[in-house]
Amino acid sequence: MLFNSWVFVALMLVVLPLYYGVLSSWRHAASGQMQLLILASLVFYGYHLPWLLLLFGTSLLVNGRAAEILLQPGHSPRRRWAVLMSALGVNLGALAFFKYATLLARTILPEALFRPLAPWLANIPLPVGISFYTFQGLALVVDAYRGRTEGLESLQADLNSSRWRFHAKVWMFIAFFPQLVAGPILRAHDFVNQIGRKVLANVDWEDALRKLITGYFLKMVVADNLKDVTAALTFPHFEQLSKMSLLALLYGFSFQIFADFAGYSLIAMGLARLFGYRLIVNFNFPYLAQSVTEFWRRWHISLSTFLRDYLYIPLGGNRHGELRTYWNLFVVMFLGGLWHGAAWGFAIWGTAHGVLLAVERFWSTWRGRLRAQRSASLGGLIRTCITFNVVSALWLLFKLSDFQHLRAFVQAFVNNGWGGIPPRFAFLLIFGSVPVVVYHLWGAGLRQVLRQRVGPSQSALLERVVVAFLAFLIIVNAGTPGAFIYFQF
Amino acid sequence: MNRGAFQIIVLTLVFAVVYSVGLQLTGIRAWFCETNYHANLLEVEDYLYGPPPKVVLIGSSLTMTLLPRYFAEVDADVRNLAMAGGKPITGLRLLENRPDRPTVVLIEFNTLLDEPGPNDREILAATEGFTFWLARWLPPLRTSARPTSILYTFIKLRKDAILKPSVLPPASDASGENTVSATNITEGTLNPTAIEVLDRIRQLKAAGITVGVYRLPVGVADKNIASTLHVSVQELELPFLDLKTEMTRRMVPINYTDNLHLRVESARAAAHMLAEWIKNGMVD
Repeated sequence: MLFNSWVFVALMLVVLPLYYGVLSSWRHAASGQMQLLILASLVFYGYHLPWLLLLFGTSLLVNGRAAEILLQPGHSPRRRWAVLMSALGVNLGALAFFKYATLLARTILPEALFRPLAPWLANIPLPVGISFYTFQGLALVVDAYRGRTEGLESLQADLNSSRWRFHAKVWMFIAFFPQLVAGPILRAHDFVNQIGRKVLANVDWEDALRKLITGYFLKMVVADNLKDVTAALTFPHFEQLSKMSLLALLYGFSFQIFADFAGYSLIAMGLARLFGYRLIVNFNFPYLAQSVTEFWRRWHISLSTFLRDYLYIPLGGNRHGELRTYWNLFVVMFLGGLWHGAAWGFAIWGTAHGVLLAVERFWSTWRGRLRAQRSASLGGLIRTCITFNVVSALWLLFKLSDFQHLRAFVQAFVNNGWGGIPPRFAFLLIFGSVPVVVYHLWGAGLRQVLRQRVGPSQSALLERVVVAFLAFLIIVNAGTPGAFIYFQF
Repeated sequence: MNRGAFQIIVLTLVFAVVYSVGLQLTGIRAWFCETNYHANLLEVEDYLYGPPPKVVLIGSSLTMTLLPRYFAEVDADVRNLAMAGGKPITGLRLLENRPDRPTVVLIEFNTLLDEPGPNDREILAATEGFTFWLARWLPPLRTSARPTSILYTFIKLRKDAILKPSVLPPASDASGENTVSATNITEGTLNPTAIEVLDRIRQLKAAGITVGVYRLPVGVADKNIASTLHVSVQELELPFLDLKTEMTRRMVPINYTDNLHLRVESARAAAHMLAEWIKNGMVD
């Protein structure tokens, strides 16, 4: 089910009144509301393909049972290790099969063996959201194994009092529909202790509305309109385009992927707020980054922190010397790239980012300054522009995952003249890009400047006018409807 | 609900009402759209939600260049139901969505029996959606009210050379030159789309609607017409106008924007010729 569909609106019109109307005043309100959200989440996930619920349900049961065992005291280290490995095996095995079977087979098997398998492999469906909910379940299991129970007190208490409630909370944590198919990737300690009775009076409607409207605007007005022009960034359509057009389309895709993904995260946060829950911020104005290192502190924050905590640090992090640190960065980003899609183009994308992180770290270490310093000077602006261009160039690997097409793009860029941009391209690109630029300027300090100029109350009113105008544009200027880009991951 | 959220909702409604009233009072609307999807949606909405059409054009993006405004310049009431990236079969299907049918239906010969593509499916899916239905009752939801499309129309109209309505060179013989001309049609293999197109044409004729076909000049090498049409088209006795031949004969310049679609001046001239042909034998 898509957030930008009428059937989703219908789902919300049913669930919200039940949640706050009937269940909120019930004696077992917390439990009832939780069950309602779990049911709504299952409907949300299985609406178009009910069979996905089998796979999803299996993941929930396996992770719930593993977490249950690992949070209980008294099990031997051997048993705990076996439970952890089993859960990892089931989760990663499912991910490997549904997402990477074709890639692995093509890479490992000789051509003669791969060819007869190829049609069967191509028919393996990619369950929506599998990368996200698998990571979320794994995080819970690993935290339970490591004994990191801070934030999981309510789960431990439920183990002693009600196994049913324990599993319901695990299901709620993993299946919560606002973040189920495209994140943010939640951590149990951030979410589980929030589970409880929610009342209408405590809903921060303005915050929820702002996030929802901004998210839907970024998705439906910016990303969906940019999509119609960046469609030209496919082979062979781009071959005859001028350098200027190719560059403009690249930037357009950069803005589109941000608007699409950040829009989804904001919608998820807004929806969660409607139900009384807070999700973590997933995007912190990423194109303001002055280095690739900083970019990964601002882009898909839930993924980068997951990779840091469950891959980079267990590999040793930066505790075993510089060379080992570079290697760890490389491995983490390689796997992070591969997480995005079952194609070597994504792995190369991740690897390129890993190399850049290592180079930046080397440069900072050599200069005796480990942490990158942000600068508001011209130098900082130049670094921001360079980082944006580097990141945008690497997004090309997302758009053109076939190496032949990538080569054709580079050839076209090198060989074609500068020329001009077709008017329709220019129009759509300007219209789609300006909101993203303004959004980032807002994060860069425009909001503070406004408050200083007109005062806090006037500034707040002006912000509401802007949000209302965005809502108006959602109604009258939505683009061609389309799925969220990150659904394919 | 807190005050801030209430303000946002009220302000949104204010924007919507002011915008809607403003469009109604000024008559400003979009004629061009920045995406093919919205351009097609605009055509369909104009057909379904506008006044009853007298003459409807059906075809692909080739026909889309023949704007209704060009026909209005010569007092011809013609609505355009052609689709960018679409085929005549979609237009024929969409005709049914309106109970008061046109008197005359003119179909683009160049793509007459072509199978539908992704754009056709996309637009048909859109017309079945809730938002499309809602737009019937709420004009601000229509494509003609899209702010970016209105802005795009404004920019495009200023950019394109807006010529004064051209006076067509008179035909050398006014008696029958620009009416029916037979075409050589040979037997071909019919696909399901072709069968459906021909069936729909028969149904329109049986309902008393006049159906004609016209061929537009196309910059790139045109398809060999003789190899694409079945003799059944000739059996249907459809009036046919070859605009390429006609424009060449009258020495009307034929210019293209992209080696395929007519430029403004040529499209206007083609539209006027089509209107003249209708007046000479197609309209009551």
